[in-house]
Amino acid sequence: MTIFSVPGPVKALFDHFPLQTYPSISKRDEAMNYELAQRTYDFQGPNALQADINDTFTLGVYNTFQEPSSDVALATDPWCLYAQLSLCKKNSLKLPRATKAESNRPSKPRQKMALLSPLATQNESLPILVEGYNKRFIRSSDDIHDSLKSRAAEDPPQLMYISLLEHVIYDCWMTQVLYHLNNDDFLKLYSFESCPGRNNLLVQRLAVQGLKASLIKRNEFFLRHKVLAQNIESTGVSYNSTNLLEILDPILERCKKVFLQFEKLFQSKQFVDSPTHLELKIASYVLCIMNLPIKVPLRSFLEERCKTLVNHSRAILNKFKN
Amino acid sequence: MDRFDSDLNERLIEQSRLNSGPTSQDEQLGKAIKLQNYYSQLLNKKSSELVAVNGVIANNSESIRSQVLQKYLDATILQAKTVGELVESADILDTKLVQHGLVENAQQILGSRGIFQLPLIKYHFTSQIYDSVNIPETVSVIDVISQLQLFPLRKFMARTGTNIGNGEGDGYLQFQLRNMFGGGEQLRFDVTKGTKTFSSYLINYAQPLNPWWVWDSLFFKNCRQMGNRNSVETLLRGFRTCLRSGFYGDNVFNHEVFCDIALRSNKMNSLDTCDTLLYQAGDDVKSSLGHIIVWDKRDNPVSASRGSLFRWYNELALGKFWKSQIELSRAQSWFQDDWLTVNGTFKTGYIHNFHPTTRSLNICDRFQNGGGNDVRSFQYMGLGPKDIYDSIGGDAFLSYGISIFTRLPFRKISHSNFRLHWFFNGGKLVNHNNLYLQDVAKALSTQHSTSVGFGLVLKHPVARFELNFALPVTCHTGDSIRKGFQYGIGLSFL
Repeated sequence: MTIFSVPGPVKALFDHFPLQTYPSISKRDEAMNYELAQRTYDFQGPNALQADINDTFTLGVYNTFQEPSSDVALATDPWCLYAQLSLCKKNSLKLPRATKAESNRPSKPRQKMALLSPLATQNESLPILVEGYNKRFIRSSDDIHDSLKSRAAEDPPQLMYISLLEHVIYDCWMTQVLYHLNNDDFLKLYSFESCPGRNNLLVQRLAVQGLKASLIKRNEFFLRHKVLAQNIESTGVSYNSTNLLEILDPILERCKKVFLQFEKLFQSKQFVDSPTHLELKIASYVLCIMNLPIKVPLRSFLEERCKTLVNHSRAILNKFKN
Repeated sequence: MDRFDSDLNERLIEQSRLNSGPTSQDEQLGKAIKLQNYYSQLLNKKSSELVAVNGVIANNSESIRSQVLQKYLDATILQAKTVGELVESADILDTKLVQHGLVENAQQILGSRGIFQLPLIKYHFTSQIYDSVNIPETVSVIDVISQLQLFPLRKFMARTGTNIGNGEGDGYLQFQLRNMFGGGEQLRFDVTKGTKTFSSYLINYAQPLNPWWVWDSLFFKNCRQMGNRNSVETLLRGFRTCLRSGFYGDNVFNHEVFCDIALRSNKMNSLDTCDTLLYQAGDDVKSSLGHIIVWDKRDNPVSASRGSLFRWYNELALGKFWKSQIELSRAQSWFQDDWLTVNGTFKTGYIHNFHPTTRSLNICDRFQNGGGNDVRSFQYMGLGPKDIYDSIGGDAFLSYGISIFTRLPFRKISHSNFRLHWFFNGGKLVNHNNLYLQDVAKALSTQHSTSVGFGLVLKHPVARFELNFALPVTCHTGDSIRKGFQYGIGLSFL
């Protein structure tokens, strides 16, 4: 017993307090429940249902789009979509439905995907993975990226290809969304506030600069392209400047070259029932690029020159449909 | 010569003994009190004597525009009709000139040129009662000349220092341009770094419109930490403009009308943030109009010994909600030198969400309860609804406290600013989901989280410091309890 420890009788007396404990105050908030329902998509398939809520996870993504030929909700960002497809592969899940049937929502806890703001996490980037419920742990986008990369570690060529994609294709994707999209189209990809009915145009307009600034921090894009990063962080973006085009063009050309090489590789490859992580990675980029507006150069290039990759990606998508 | 020196020495020693001794101090104090009493008696006796201020001699008035000074004089001493009113308005004039940043200091000497007779019928005097049969044709009026001595202020000022707020502290750097155009116009630039407020930048322009109203506008950007586990970081950027009154006198209500536009970004810092806060992360714009009405008769706003306070805050956030909050406080002292003081405070608030089923209230707009300055023996934001471990706030609350202060029971330090403190606190914070007001009142009226305790309070002029030993008496499951010692630093307490 030290001089700082509380004497037994005093402790026993204080342990009586509080004298009475009432039940907890209800956290029920109808508006928040509505918000949760609107921004949550349930993964499908028998494995999506869990007996214990603490065995569930929630994947946080920027926004979703509906693939034209199906009723599935896909993440609009390639990193988020890769995480979504990887979770489906790992847990034998089917992709969430884009249209929601509120009345048929089961009471059992489910694996979910949620539309979140990048501010939901400390490093301001998505995807995030919320594991568990009462006792939870939130994995950041970097953690998810490292974890998924480690799954391909046993196959060095696959790991090399994934690294190639993470630099060449990723950088090109970033330049396409940052410089070839207007604010409205950009927000459709990176802000759930652009969903119909939310009517928060003013918020979006004010937040777009912050969103772009946080996005360039992901995957160290800002370190590889300092001039572009400075251009995004400054308030006056000058897309038409000759200097900027000189930087953007080589990025696009490199990306086209890599896509053509993969196109060639996949032409000789048979589609197998269980796609590899490399295939998921390519599919996530291809599907996201195909969701971009028609005027975006990278999308028209894929449509014209990489038909095998597009078909292969759609085949992977079909595999994860319910 | 020697004899003369020794006499002188003896006299000096005797004088210094008399001056330094306790008897001399008591005598001087007694004389000062007597003199003060004499003046106040004289003032009370003569307070209804009629006066007319027929001239003001202002020295060093170059720094104030003449129309502005005229406005202040017209509204104060030139309105005075009696000695009592003149003394009171002279005080108000000095205070207002300093408060509105027109001068560093102001002094007045009220002199009389004699008494003159004025026809009663042409002059309106207050409080003059005459017998109906004995109405005089003229009245005696003291002819007063005021000598107003003004001390101009330095127009540019830069200063640095520390602030203490409710449970937080910060350091600041401030640049001020005061009395820019001779009408009390003030431009201020503030940079603050602190414990809860990580960074704050503000540009503030304030201008008195007349002696009673001030127009105040500011652009601000600040980043502060929120939540019972400091898991929310809120970045605020916006503009606020308000009109604020500063009336003096008995039964006077002061008002503040404000307009507020802010872009708020809530960022989550924790690795186990609850769903409610995860979905609250992001940007949000709030534009609101508001009104605050205050009736403050307390002798000291930080640690009142006597007097009452009524404060009613109303805010209309356009398209979002209406928020109303009422605070009532009363302090009363007894025995010599306010040996015993009892202070009671009651606060309640209600938010009406205009979209109760579709749009959730932002955590910044919700009420929060608990902490060393609020319901003691509970952590900061420790009461009310919780989602897992995080406080998510509520839209209706009630809190109350009764504090008893006594001077320290030792003669040597009983006159210090320290007080012994006993308290009883209680409160409840709920999410009402837009229930009817009577149902909300019913929900708030039962099952309060309460606490008792005692401690030591330092009533400093700039802030109140408390160190209490507190125990929760009743609580709810999920309340964040703080059993034992708890400190509180701030300006307002329950």
